[in-house]
Amino acid sequence: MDYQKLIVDNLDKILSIWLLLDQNQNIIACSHLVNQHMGYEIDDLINQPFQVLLPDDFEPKEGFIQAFLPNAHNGSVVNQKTRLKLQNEVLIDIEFSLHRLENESESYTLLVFDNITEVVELRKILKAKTETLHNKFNLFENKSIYSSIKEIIDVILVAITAGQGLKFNRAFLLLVDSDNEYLQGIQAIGPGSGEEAGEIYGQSNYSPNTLVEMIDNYKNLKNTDSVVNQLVKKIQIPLNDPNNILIKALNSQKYILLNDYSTLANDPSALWLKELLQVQECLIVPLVSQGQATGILVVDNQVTSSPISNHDIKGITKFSDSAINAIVSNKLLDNLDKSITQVKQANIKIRESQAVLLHKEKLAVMGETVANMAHEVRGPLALIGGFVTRIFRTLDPEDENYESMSIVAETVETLESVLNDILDSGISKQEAFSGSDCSKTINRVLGLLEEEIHERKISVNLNLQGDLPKLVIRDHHLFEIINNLMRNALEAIGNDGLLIILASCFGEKVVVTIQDTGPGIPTEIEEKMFSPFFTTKSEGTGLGLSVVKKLLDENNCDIRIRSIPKNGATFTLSFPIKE
Amino acid sequence: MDKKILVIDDEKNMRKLLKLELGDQGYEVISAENASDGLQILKHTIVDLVVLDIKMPGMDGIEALEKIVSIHRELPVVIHSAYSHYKENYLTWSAVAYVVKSWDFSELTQTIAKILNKTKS
Repeated sequence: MDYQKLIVDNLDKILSIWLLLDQNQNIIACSHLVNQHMGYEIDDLINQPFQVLLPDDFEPKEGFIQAFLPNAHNGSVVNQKTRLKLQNEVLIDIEFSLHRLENESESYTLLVFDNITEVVELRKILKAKTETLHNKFNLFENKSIYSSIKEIIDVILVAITAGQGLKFNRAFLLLVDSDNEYLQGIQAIGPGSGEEAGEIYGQSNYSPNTLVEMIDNYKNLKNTDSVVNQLVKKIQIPLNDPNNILIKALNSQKYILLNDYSTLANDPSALWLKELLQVQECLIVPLVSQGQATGILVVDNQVTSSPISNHDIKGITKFSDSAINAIVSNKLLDNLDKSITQVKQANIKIRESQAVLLHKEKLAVMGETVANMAHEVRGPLALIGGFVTRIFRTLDPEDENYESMSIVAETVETLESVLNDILDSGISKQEAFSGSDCSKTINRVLGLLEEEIHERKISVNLNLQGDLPKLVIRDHHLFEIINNLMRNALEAIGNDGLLIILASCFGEKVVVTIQDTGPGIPTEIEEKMFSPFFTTKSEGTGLGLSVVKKLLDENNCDIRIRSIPKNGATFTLSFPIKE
Repeated sequence: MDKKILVIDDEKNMRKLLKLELGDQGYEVISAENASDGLQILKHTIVDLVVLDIKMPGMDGIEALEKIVSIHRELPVVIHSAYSHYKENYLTWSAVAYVVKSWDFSELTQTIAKILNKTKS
């Protein structure tokens, strides 16, 4: 599939302004919003260098993209700022994120800008709002309000209640939850009691000059959950409750001024709300974005009891537009972020599957050679095994060579089983097998690792239940599993540590536990550790654990991993027993 | 009288080992290092069973098998090969048994015992 088309198709669903640049930083695609919000004709921009959008005096223009790349994490740089030139020569400061999107042959740079409409409109509305605000509302020049939704909510609530803002005493924000089931209280601002009000209004003599400073103060205060915050979080109203006054406001998308004179004054839910907020008068403002009501603001003057004027209503309803747009656009940016993550994950998956394919091809080519070799080996192996078995049969158990010969014989047997598995599982004597001896296999592996265990000063705590029943698994499979896990455990421990091996019978299973005192397994690795080619080691194919998993699955055995960071990992295996 | 088995295998040590293993079972073992020699022996010697390798220089076991069964219709031939996939080849189907080479000769000796006991009875 055309990679560029794939990217553009994905981006088309995004409501922010985006530009796609080729390797020479020429614009090869952009969102239609460029025309709507920046004034440029899209056709005029295509194939133009990105730098045409930078102000004339912007320095340095040439290395603009490169300058951000050193900070890139996973090919992305977010929350960057720049100044752009609109078609009408107006300059705007704007936040953007930069993403490198590439496959093996193509490489693109994606620039995504904050929703310019919202920024422009919010600034316009807020500036025009009141004369007091006019001088002081420089917040958007100085401070990003888009860094997080929480910060936006802080700004909105402070703006509503601040002396320099809309001057309400208290504000409560409720939003429709993501499942579209409830209207949920999110956050509130304002004094919780008369005394608290006294404190706050006492302090307001020293109140900071700018909203920016107020917002910072508020953020510092917020660590303690205020009374109003606790109050608002308790509010949760099902959206299918049309009689509730808040849902009414939400559905009608019209504000409701609730006081003794309003038509709804004696509505049960109106009484409930007044009781809850302890007020005679409050204003319920729906937050509507793109025709959809997504939340409610409730404001009141509980402390000063000043009546809510038409002027107040005008201010808050106008402000609510930009408030909800800020919230929604932040959510959209969040979605965009997720889309980009998805594209990237797809990229990674493609790369992974390419690696697997390549590996498979290699295997196929090697397969024939390997099969031939394996057959050639089988004959000589039968000879070794045959002769050794003959010698072994003649030896007395007291003979000094008895153990050595038994090891040779066992090894030949294992090798032959491996060959059979490689070549054709059908001919190995799986029907006639007599069951595997778990203790014997564990001891055999320990014997092979003895020297290493000694050298690394690792203590082994071995506790095998006597007379364990035989397991329904072929010997060399069991050997392969135990061998892999024990070797991993030793590697995890490094030097000086403890390896605990337990085996006992529980009902119809034999449970083998291999525990080490290594660094443990990080959760993110735990999920991947059984996939082929996954390895944390600088050497090795990463096939060890995936082979273990395959053998366990084939033999209906279970594996559980429990890991405590810095306290080692425990592999618990359970094997069905032979009846 | 001991049953007589002809082993045709190009690998000297396999011939030696089979002589020992089958000898242990009470059989008299004679051997040939290639298919032509084996066919020559069969012309003048009566044997009860043939153990035949497949991959051999010169005439391979499959060709030898065809010749043996066409001349000695009643003579049981057991194929003894490191390769298992010739089992799929119908030309090997005229052999009474197909045993893949293994360190464990019990499958071979048991197979042979079964065949020879049957022919005796």
